[in-house]
Amino acid sequence: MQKLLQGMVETYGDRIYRLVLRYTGDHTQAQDLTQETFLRAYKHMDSYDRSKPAGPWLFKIAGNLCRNWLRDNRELPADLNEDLYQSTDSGPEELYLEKEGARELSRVLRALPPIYREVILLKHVGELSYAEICETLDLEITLVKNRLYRGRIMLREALEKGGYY
Amino acid sequence: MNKSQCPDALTIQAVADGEENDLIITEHLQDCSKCRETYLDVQRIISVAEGLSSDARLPIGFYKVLSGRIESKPFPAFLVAAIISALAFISVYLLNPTYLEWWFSVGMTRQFGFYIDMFFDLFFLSRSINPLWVITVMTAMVVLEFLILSKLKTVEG
Ligand SMILES: [Zn+2]
Repeated sequence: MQKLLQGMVETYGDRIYRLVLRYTGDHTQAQDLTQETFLRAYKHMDSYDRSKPAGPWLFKIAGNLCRNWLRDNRELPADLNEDLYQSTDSGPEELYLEKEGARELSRVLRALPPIYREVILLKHVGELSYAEICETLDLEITLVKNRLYRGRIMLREALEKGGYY
Repeated sequence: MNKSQCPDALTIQAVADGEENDLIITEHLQDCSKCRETYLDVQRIISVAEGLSSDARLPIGFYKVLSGRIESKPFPAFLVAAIISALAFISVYLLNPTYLEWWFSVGMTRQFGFYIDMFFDLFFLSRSINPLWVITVMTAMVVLEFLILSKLKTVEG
């Protein structure tokens, strides 16, 4: 059973970590929540259908933990650690603008209604397919497509308002 | 769907997400400027939203720590209950040996029931709370009891 868990960590560990990091904005807390995700997975391995990929099942556990974390901590962090932003080879001025843009993107994401936010995060941070998002959130595919579309439009409109799009 | 029919925005989004690769739709996107515009719009917001991800990775040794936590067996609850019950017995004996003699001879049934109850209460408590905490708190209470009673003894002379 530990071999199975190790395979899950290797395949999904980083993606789950990045998703959780989006919620906590803090590396230590994100590591703790990721550990908790896999500990729960190990504890409830009986309920995992081994004929399916483990991704949606793990993201569901991580999602529940993140929701609990949000409930206890009220809201998403106002800003994220500097090193959370993707590193590029840009010069200092471009780097500043990139970071500003990334900060604005975080702010805009925070303001989205949770139902849109979670679909966007699962798609762009969790790198899940439509089918996997459906399974993770127990939603119909049309609803997932709709929420993704509307969420993206909201994201765009908010960025346009701030002059970042 | 035929090639001249415009797909809806959700279908165009699915193409941009790589979830839809129906040739009729992709060919339509090449020929229809209105749909191509929608497609490029969706693609642009996708590339912006991609900025939400990061290159953060789990620290090396993450799995080692995780498997360490899995392998560390929790302290058996019954052992905790037994240790605490023994502590209680010892503290009572040390403080007043005649008391035990008394309840062994006279109050056996009631006292024994009390200890059995206590054992199971502690057993269930240790299953829901970290057992080491229970032991620590109980030990602290016994020590406190000793301190108070020895102080009283001094006062009483
Ligand atoms: Zn068209």
